[in-house]
Amino acid sequence: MRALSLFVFALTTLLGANHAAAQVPAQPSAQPSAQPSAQPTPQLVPPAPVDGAPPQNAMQAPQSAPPQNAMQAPQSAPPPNAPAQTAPPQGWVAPQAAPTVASERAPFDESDGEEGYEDVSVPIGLAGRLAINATLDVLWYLDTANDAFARSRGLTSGGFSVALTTLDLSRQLLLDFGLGWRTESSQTVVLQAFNALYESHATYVDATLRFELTPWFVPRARVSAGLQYLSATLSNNVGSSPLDGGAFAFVSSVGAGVELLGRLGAGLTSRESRTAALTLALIVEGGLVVGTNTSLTVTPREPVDDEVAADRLPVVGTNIGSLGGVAPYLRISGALRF
Amino acid sequence: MTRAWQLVTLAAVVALGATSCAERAKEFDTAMSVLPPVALGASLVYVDSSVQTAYVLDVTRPEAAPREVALGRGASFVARRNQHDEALVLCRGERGGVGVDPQASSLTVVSGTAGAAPRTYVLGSPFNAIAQTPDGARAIVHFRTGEGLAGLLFNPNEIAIVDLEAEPSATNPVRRTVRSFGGVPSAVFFSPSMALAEGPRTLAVILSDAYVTLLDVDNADRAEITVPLALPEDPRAVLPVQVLFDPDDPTVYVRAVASDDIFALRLQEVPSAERAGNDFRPSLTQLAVGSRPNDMALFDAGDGKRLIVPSRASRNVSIVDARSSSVTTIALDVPADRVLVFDATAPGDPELSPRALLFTADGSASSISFVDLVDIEERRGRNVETRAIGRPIVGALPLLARGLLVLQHSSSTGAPGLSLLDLSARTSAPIFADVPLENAKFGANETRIFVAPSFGARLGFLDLGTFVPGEVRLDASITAVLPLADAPIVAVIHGDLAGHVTLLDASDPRRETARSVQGFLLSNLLARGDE
Repeated sequence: MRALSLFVFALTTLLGANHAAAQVPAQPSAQPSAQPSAQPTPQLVPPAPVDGAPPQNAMQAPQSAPPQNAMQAPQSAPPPNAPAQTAPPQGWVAPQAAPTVASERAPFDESDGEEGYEDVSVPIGLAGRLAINATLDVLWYLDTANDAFARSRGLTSGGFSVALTTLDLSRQLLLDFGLGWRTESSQTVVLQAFNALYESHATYVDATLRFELTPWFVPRARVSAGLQYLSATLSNNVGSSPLDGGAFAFVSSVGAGVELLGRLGAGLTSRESRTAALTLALIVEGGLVVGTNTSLTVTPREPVDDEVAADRLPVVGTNIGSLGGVAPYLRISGALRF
Repeated sequence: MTRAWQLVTLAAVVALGATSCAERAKEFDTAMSVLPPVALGASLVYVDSSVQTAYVLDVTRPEAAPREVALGRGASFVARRNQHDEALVLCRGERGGVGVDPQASSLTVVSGTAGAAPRTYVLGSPFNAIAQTPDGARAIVHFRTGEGLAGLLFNPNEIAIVDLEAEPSATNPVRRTVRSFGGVPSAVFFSPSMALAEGPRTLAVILSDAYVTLLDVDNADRAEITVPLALPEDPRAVLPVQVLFDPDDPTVYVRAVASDDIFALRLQEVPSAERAGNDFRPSLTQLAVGSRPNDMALFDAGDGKRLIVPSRASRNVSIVDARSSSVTTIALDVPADRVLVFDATAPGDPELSPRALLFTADGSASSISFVDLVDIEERRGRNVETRAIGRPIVGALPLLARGLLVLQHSSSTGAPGLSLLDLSARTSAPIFADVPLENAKFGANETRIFVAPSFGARLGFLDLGTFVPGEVRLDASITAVLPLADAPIVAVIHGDLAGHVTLLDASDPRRETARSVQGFLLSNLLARGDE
């Protein structure tokens, strides 16, 4: 419950931060901006999203800072091999204070007949896209101690996470920072007498480096670190109180995988895809979870009735050993990014 | 996806699949098999044979994890080593099977003191019984009929003599086979130090079907002496069940089922010139004591030892002078099958003299008989006094140092409870109980007796100085009470499979000062897969 509370708090905080970030492009502009309903400039403004809402990150001409992920005219000279950018489009208003510009291939340009990127010059800067992930993990614990709670060492884990794409390191390279919650549970009979239940709740922060190789295929690498609360219950059916125990542990992971993307919006161009309002992602990731060994001491469960609990004799519990936290994992996630 | 990615993915899936297919350690699927605990000086010893581990719980530091001592396979018996802060754990070993290596049987000595290394004596054969000398210096491990004998071939008359004071070695224990007339040992008794020709020594008396075997445990290389109790053509199953020793006039008295006689084995000296091994030779005398003796006790009559033998079937008690083989038979008002000899005064007799109490402990009688043993052969029935207790007796717990006998009464034939019998005043103080009582144990300093009900969570106790009873409400049903010898603590055992003990202050048993230890038999549960 503690972990859940922490997660909710963190999620609220993160959503608030994302909301603030999303307000940046909406600041009033003294220059003509992409307003489809007023003096449209078809050459410059990308098609409206399918739902007709004003696109976030639409091309605008901010006075001070470029919008995140916006296509912007470079201040410096384009690279020689970028003929499409040699002349700024007509009507384009260059930002007054553009950040450092990286000249790379723009994503999703298929003009050369194969999936790839057209060469564009893009700024390195803040992004601001939010992703909500539902994750399903299968972990294979290496420590035999976990056998007490499962007939096999493969445990299924589920969870949620939110990630914010905060940095465009380059045109193809994105860095996400996220906050997640993961829970896992297993149950079995041990010693032919006890029902052994294991649960854990982990709250973690992670950083994910995504490389947009193609419009739909994005290799990624992720590291995470967090706090995990492990709990164990041993009970039998002869009337004695169940034995409960729990402990906190540090947990981290490192993994790599791929994202398979589906972007909502027909006929998107490369630029448009990058800033599409909604992206669905299927993420397959493998890696290694490394947690600290967790010592578990179990004591009889407190009676529900406060009066009975207060009356109970003081009890000394017992240490049932340590759970190892090293486990290869395979994570399958569904992500909604907007 | 490139080919490299495909290969990496495939390799990862195969690796993880192989890991997940691994069966968990069988230790997690093995049912616990916990022997009844024994109390040492300040610790309790639990043995879980399923994991070959003894758990030593220090009751003075219950918050500390129980000490785990590795045992051999097949632990079947645990007992306190006499006069020592150690437990003897008999392990029958493993016959072997698919994936299981055979393992010889062993006897492990587990110390109650932390830091003391256990000693394991390899026995070889899967013995199932152990007997030890009163001082705990030696033990004889043997087979006993009817208790899980197993093995393709085994010799039921093989024994192992273990010197518990010495470290295990090639010559310790000593394995040998005792002579047999076709029977199997049923019990082993050790004598006190007997006055024999070559000096005082301890003898072992091995009881078998229709014969007994005498063995000099201090000279284990000497041949044993076997004494038949019945003629070969005698169809009766003369099974010896009780042994008494007269160490001064070295004699062994044997009582047997299906025999109307007491067998007296006088250990006569073997002349030095004829001595090839043992320095004694038993001379058998059969003492006729009427019909089916039920018990026997020795007392000093001033001019020598006498046997007092009650016979329930004949409703009398016999006084036997072993030297002259004379028997004096005295009729009783109530049948008796138990005898307790004690020194005490009596009403109208301030002299501290040997006296006997005769009673029946099977719930069939509610009266007892006192017998003044001085001049009993002359005064006969005039020395017998019968007293009514009022409730059938099902058990007795003597506390001779206080001149008390605690009689336990049954619930099926009357109100459950206890009677405190003052052996001098010959009065009884009834203590009633609202539930049947299962077992009663004296506290370490014998100032209280603790009584556990057969069900329920209240422990009863009785102050033996004031006879004031009390009770303590605990949190779980009680299965046993174990006073600790070297700590002012009484351990109350509960029936939790994970281990549950409540520790009470023996001198002031109150709920406010009690505390429990729970789950200790699951100590290091998670590490069992590492083994």
